[in-house]
Amino acid sequence: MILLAVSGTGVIEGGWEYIWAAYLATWIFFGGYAISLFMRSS
Amino acid sequence: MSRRIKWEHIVGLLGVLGMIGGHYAGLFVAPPERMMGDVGRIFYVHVPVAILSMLMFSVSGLAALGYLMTSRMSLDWLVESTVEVGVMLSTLLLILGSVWARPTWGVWWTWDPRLITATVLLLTFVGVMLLRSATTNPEKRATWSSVATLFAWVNVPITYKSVQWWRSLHQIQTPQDAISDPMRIVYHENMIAMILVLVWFVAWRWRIAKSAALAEAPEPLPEAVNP
Repeated sequence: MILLAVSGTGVIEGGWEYIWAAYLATWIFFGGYAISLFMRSS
Repeated sequence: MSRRIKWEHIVGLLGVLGMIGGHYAGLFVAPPERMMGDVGRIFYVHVPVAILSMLMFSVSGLAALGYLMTSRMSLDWLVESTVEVGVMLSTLLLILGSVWARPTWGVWWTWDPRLITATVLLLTFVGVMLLRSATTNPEKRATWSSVATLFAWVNVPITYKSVQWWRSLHQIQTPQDAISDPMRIVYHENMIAMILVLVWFVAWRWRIAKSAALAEAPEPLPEAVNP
């Protein structure tokens, strides 16, 4: 962290692939669980 | 069979719409975090999932305590539903944490006390689910899993306090007043939407548990016919 602060602004740049992965994982889990409930209740 | 739409599906629809709006705001409207930049947008999914997974297991603990005190099967069905939803959330939490850790810490996983306690929390509740599936007698299953749920619940406050007790890589809880208004609004929107979705899941799962319990109940004896 010290090196980051010295060599630049210290702010992480980019990383959108991780952001999309996190949001996508949330929808996959919630969607998958909703489908499992639907399958079990029908 | 009733054709009326059950209340939980309306709540679920509101929750899903809220999540769509909340995720759009988290991705495109909220400002980048001061130090983490855009990667900080994972906050809007990771933190609600973290808080609500612990809350879900706390509801399991309360329902288990209630069952042991009253023997009401509706509370056992609540244990069954909240434990399952909590395990789903807890698994998602570890994945989200790992995805967030890679760009911020430089690793997918590290033996940080918060990560360890969160994993132990998940595994203990997976144990509760295994115990339930291995027990066929409904009363024994309800009693044993309630006791196991209470033991597993002990990990909730340990997990919550782990970042304060053993200061390491994972940051401590962020105070509400340390978050700027635009970020706090988006965070609250996502939190409320996720609560609605989880209420939907628990109520729906509760009905499934109830149906299964009624299906496995022995047939009532035929009533005596009055001459």
